[in-house]
Amino acid sequence: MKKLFNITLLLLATVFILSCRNGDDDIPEDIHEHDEIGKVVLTLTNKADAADIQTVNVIGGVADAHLHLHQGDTYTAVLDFQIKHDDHYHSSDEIVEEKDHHFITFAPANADIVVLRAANDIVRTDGNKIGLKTEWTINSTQSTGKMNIKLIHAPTSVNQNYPSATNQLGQTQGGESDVDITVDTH
Amino acid sequence: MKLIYSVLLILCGFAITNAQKTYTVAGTVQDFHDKTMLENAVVKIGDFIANTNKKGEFSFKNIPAGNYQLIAKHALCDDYTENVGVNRDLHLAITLEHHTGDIETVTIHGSHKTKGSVIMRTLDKTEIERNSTENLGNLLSKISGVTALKTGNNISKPVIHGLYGSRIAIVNNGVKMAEQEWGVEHAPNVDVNDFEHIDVVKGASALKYGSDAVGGAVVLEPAVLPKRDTIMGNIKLSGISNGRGGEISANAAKTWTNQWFVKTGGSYKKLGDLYIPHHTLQNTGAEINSFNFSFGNHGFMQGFDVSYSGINQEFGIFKGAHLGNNVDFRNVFKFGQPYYLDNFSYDIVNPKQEVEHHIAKLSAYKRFENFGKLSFQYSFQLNRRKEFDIRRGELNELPSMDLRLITHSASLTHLLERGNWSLESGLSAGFQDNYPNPATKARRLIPDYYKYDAGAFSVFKYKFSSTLNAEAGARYDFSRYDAYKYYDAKDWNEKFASRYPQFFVQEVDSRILTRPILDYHNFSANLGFNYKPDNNFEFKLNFARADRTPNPAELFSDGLHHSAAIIEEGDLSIQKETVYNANLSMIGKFNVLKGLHVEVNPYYMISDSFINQVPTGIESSNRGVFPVWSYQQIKARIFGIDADAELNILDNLKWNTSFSALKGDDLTHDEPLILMMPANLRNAVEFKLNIPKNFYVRLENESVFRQKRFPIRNQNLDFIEDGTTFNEELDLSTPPSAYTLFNASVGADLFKNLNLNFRINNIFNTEYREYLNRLRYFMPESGRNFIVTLKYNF
Repeated sequence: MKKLFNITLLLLATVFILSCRNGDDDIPEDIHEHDEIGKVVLTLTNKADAADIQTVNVIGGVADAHLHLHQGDTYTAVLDFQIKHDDHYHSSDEIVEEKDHHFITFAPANADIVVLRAANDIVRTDGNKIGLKTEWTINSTQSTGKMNIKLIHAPTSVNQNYPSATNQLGQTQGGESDVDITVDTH
Repeated sequence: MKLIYSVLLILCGFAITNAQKTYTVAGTVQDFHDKTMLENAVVKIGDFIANTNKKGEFSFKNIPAGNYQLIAKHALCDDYTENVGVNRDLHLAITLEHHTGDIETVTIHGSHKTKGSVIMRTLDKTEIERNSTENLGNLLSKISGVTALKTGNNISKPVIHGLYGSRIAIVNNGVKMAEQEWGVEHAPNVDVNDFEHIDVVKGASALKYGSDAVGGAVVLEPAVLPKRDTIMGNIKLSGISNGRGGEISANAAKTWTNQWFVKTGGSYKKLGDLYIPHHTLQNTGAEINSFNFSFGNHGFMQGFDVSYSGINQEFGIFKGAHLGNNVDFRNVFKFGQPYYLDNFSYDIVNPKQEVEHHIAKLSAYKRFENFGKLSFQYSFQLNRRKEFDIRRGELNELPSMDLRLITHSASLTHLLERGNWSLESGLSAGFQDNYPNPATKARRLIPDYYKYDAGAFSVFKYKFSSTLNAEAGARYDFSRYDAYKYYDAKDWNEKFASRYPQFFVQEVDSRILTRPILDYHNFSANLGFNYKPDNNFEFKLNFARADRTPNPAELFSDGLHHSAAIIEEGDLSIQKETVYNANLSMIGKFNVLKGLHVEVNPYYMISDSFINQVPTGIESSNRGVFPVWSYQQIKARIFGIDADAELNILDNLKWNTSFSALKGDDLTHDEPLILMMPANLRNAVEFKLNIPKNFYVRLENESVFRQKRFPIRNQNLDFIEDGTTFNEELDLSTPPSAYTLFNASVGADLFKNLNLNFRINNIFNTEYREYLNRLRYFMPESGRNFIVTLKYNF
């Protein structure tokens, strides 16, 4: 009986002794946000005026500027998706590396903007262009004009020629939105 | 020569003298446990027989001197055998173990009546065997008042009277499972093939299992082994059409008369993609394997056992349920059907869960003549949970969550039984180590922590008369979390910096490391009555108060919960949850046809500190706009009723019916509680025959009503389509329509030890959705399923 008691106490004591924390050795390392696209950089260059370069940075869904787009002009648009590391950002190579799992769609509102996927844009195996490099022709825009940009990861189907081959806003089914931002255009 | 003669004469003299001497042998026979005197016990000394009187007394006059074998017998007891030398008057106090008979009867007949005031329902061996391919959550849903909270069809958690997760204790062969049960999509790691019966305790009265079980407990018990020399076991083979899979399981036990035993078992189950009416859903397969081994000696006075059980589960999560933001949700509704259909496969790819759980247990007990029974248990649990999402690039190979949880638990229990009362007390201690592996390169959902627990309880049961029993219990628990957690500087400063400056450790790159140390003191108590005026009626009334320590998600959550597309926020200042419970059970037997058995169980729960998730705002990110749900303490009330009836229409034809309904409210925000089980009505008719042996046919109907009481958790969406901006309300709140399902099963023994069971679930391939399935937005429930099981007993 006494032996049983002693063994029990010894066991309990062992459990607690083994489990005591020993200070600094236990501090866990922090983890950076690898999966989230912390910053989206949209750069527009006016094809008619190389000096007209506009950059919009979107962090936390909020753009730091709006685009000034001239009616009748065509701009080349380049998208750069960046991951946060400590206090700075670096471009993600993975969208290009995994081109067959990514697709970008555009959706203007209160503005007549025609989008074409650029000749030097990345082409997926199914023939659709990702949309990292596009050309925007501004037919008209208003003070309430906006452009929504989505990066879809692993959609079940994509169609770059939506609504048509001459306006390639793009359409997808399935998958998940990794980026869904809206930028003002006026 | 003369000397030898003399010695011989003397010896003869002694012999003759002794041979003529007779003695009185008298004594008492009483029950070992509660010391009650046993009337009509038969005491046999050699060829002499006597019976004990009302006071348990016996006496033999004129027993000739000599050595005899004494045997004492009493109905429902083990025989007591002893060699006695009668060379003087003897007084013997014999004790017999009264309860062996009870236990064996209970197992054979499969019903498990509790003498206490705890409201309990049991799933017996037959029901478990007829549904052995089901997971625990789906199996327990057959009990009224119990339902399952599901994420798809493979992941299913039991819900008792509206409460689930950390509020339910799952006790596996005496060990309370520690398996990240706080997670809504964390299924219990249990193989139902290992158990002979499952008790569901409804309500907070099971103090023995700790104070956290405010909703109830699921107690899983393996078979009680016989005390004779034998090998027994079974092998089961099942084919499952939905998922085109199957299961194989085997169990074997070797027992000896000297009460040693060795037991082992294992099972393997594999399912491919799930079938819904007219389609299959991609990546909804499962693979489960389990193994258990135990040995020991279960003697009457003392015993011990050592056991190990391990289970490994891999579940595919339907890809169509994996969405980025709420606009994706809207697109799912607009599309009108699941995305990833058909192309059946057995492969399980991302998103998926891989969970491993191991339990090692050592228990020992010793009975003392007057001191009662002392039991000791030590258990070790290791839970390893990996959740894989669809990630970008090389990250896709890594799990986005990798939690390693180690739990040590030790307890010492003392049981003292006497004629009219019993007192059970215990001390327990536990230590838990949670380690989220940073190799995932994904932010931790819950942090690194150590948790210390210590508790003491005592339950006193008193028998006022043969018709009235009462019980009162009290428990105290201490819990401490010692965690290391990172916060974004902005969040820490806004929410906790001023209240908990002592937790601050250091700041690096706008991330703050904190070390929260949180203590909880929990008091729980229960009071119960059991009144049985005659054999036809029984009433149980139970009041309980239980304090629950907040779980790690409630305290430390911090981030986007992908499958729900909401941001969850914990709160360090959450206090323990205090719940008050009242449960009444009325059981009656009536002389209608061949016998009617009715059980009605109304219940009531109220809490001023109920921990609940409530939407508190929105947060914008590059992924979209997400609602933020914070954990808060509210005033909540749940009351309801479970009613069950069994009518034996003929000797071999019976009808079972059961109904449950409940009403849950958040009284702080004046709205219904979310995910409250809709009312349901079940009916079954079963016909039995003796030839073939154990032949039965059963027809079942389950009708589930639409839940009309639910909180509005819709989301406002801003999106652009066809050149215009829209603002739309996304209805995520309205529960699905009512539905009715039919199931059938038939079974019989083909040969002496071979049983065949055939079951069809959802005979008419009805398409339906369940409110308590979190993936109901993306997929309907399973279609028709044929299950064939062959069982061989040896």
